Amino acid sequence: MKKGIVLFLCAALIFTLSACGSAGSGGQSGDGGASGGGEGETVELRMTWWGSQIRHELTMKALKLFEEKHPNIKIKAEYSGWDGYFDKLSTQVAGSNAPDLIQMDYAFLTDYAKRGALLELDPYVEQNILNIADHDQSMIEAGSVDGKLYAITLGLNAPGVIYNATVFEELGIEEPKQDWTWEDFQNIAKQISDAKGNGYYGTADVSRTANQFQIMARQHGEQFLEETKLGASKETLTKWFTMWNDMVKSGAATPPEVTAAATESPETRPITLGTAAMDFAWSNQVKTFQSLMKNNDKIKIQVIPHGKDEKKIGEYLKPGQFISGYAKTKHPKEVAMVIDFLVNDPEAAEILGAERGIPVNSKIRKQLKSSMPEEDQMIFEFIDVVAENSSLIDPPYPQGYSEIEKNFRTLSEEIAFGSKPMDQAIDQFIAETNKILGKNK
Amino acid sequence: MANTATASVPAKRIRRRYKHNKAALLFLAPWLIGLFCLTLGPMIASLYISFTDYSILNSPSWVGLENYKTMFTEDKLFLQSLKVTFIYVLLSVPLKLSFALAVAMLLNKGLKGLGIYRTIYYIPSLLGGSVAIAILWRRMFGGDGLFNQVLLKFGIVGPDWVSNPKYALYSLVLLAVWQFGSSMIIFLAGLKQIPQEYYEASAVDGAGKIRQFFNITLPMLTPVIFFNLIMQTITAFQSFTQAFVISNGTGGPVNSTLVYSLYLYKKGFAFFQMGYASAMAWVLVLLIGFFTLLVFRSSKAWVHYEDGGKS
Repeated sequence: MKKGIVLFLCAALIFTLSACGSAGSGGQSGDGGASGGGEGETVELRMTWWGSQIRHELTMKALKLFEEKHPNIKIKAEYSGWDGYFDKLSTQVAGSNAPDLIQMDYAFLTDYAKRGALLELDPYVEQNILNIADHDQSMIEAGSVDGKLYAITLGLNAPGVIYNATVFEELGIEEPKQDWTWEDFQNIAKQISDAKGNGYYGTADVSRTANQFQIMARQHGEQFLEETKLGASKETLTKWFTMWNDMVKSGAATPPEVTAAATESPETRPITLGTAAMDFAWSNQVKTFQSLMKNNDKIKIQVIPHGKDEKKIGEYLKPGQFISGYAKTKHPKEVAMVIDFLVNDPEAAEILGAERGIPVNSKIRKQLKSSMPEEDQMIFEFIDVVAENSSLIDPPYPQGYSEIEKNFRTLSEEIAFGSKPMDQAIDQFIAETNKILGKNK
Repeated sequence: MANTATASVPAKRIRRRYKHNKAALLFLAPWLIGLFCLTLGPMIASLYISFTDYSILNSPSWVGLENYKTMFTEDKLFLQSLKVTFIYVLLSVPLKLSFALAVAMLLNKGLKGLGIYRTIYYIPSLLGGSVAIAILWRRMFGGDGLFNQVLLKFGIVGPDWVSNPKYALYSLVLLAVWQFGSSMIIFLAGLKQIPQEYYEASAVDGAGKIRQFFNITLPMLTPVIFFNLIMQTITAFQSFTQAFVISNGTGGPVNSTLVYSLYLYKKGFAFFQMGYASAMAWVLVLLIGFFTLLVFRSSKAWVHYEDGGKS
C-alpha cells in the first residue's frame, strides 16, 4: 500500500518534470502558448536583422507603428551586427527555429532560397496582401530565384569610397572626382599617410573583402563567381593583391595587424577610430559612419575608382538588403503584411528613411526626397550618380559562397602577413574555389 | 523434495531484487529519458549523418566514407585545424597543470587568508569560458590594449597579440592557462592527503626540499596528476568559445586560431556541410579517445596508488 503510494508519487513527479522541461524549451521556438492560432488571437512574430544601433532604433520605431495599426500582431525583435549574423541564422534554420521575418542579403539569397528556408511570396502578391506594383522591376528580379519571388528589396544602395572630408580639407588635398582611377586612389592615400604620418593611414586595407574585389573583376569584364567555376582571372586577382600589397608596404594602407583587428562593423573601422581617412563602404552606411565620427568630421562618399581602360564600369546598384519570410513560419499572411508595411507604408518610410538604402517603391522615393535631412539627400544624389555611371549588377553568388568568402579572406591575410608567396597562394585559392563551385554542376 | 525447496528460495530472492529495481528505475527515468533523447539519440543520428551529404535543409543523401576520405586527403584546413589544436593542447595543458601545482604548493604552506587566495585563483576558471572574458581578453591583448600599454612603460613596443598570426594562438594558450584554478583546487586536496610523517621522516634522513618534492610529493600526487591530465586534455581538445570570440569567428588571422571545434562549427553552420561536420565530430571522439587511452596505458608506469594496488 505504502509502496503503491510512493510509486504513484514518483510517476507523478516524472510527468510534471518532463512537462516543465518541454514548456521551458518551447519558449524559444515560436509556438509557445501565447501565439496559438486562430483569428482575433494575438499573433507573435519574430524578426531578425543586422545593422548598426541607428538601424535598430529606427526599425523598432517602425515596428511599433505597425503594432499600433494592427493590435493583434506583436513583433519580437532579434537583431545583431553583421558579423556572425548568417552563422546564427543557419544555426536557427538547422534547428527549424528561425525567426518569421528575416533580413536577407543578396550574397546569401540563392543559398537560402535553394535550400528551402525562405517563404515563397508570390501567393501573397496575388492576394494583394503584398503590393509590388510600384517597385523597380530589376529589384523584383533581383529578389527572385528560379522565377519565384523570395525577397523584397528593403533599400537600394551602391558601393563607394567614403572619406573624411574634414581631413582632406585640413591637408589641402582635392576631393576625389567621379572619374578617378585606382592610380589616383593610391596617390591620394599615399599623400595622406605621408602628411599625417605616425599611425595614420590613407585608407583601410579592404583586400580581404570579396565584394570589393568583385568590382575590379567587373572592370576587367569578368564575373567573379560563375555558377560552376571561378570567373575572375589569375591576372585580375594578382593585380588586386599587388595593388593593396604595395599600398600596405608604402604605409598608405593599414598594416595587416590593424586590418585583422577590424571587423565589418562601422564601429571598428579605421576611419571611425580615427586612424585612416578613407574606407570602402555601402552608400546606406554613410549615416551610421557620420554618427560615429569623432569631432564631427564630415563624411562624404564617391564612386569606386575606375580601372584604366576598363571594359565596363564596376559600379552597380544593389539591393542593399532584402526582407524575407521563413519557409516554416506559422503565420505567413501576417509576415506578408509586415513586409508590405515596411516597404509601402508612407509613415514607415518616414521613420526608416534612407538608412537601409533608397526606398524601392518609386512613389515613396519621390515623397521622401524632399523631406530628408542633408545626409540622406547626399545618399539620394549619390545613388542618382551611380544610376548614370554603372553597369548591371552581377547575378547572385552561387551556392558555396560562404566558404569561398572565407578562403578569400584567408588568401588576403596570407599575402598581407607574408606567410605564403602571392603566386602560390592565389593558385591555391583558384583551385579550391573551382573545386567548391564544381559541386554545383 | 529438497530440490524444490532450494530452487524456490533463489527465485523469491530474485523477485525481491526486481521489486527494488522497479523503484530505482522510476527515479532514474527522467535522467534516462534525457540520456536517450538528448545525448545518445543525437549521437547515433550524428553518426548516420557523417556518412551523408547534408546541407541542413535538403534531406541527407548517402555518400559513405567520402567525408572521411576528403578530410584526410584533400582538406588543407582540416590539417591546419589539427595542427592548431595540437599546439594548443600540448602547450596549454602542461603549463596549466604546472601552474596549478606550483600555486597549490604555495597555498599549502598554510598562510593566513588561505580561503581568500583559493577563491581568487579559482574565479578565473569559473568565468574564463565565458564570452565576456574572451571579449575582454581580445581588448586587453589587442594592438593598443592594456597589455601593450604596460609594456610601453618599459619601453617595449608590443605587437598586436591577437591579430598577428605569429602570436594569436599564444594569447589563447594564455587564456587557458589563466584558468588553472579548478586544477589547483584538486591539487590542493591531493596535497593535503600526503601524510606529514613522510616529510618529517625524510627530513630526519637529511632530505632537502627538492628531494622531498621529487621523491614524496610528486609520487604521492600522481593519481591526482593523472586525473587532472585526462580532464584537462579532453577539455582542451574540445575548446571553442575562446577561439571563436577572440578571432571574431574567423579562426584567423590566416587560420592561426582555427581550433578543431571552430572549423567543425564553420563547416556545419556557415558552409552548410553538416555531414562533413558530423564526420569531423566523430573523428574528434576517436582522437580524444586515443589520447586518453595512451595516458591510461602509460599510467601503469608512473601512477602510484597509496594502497600500493594496481589502478
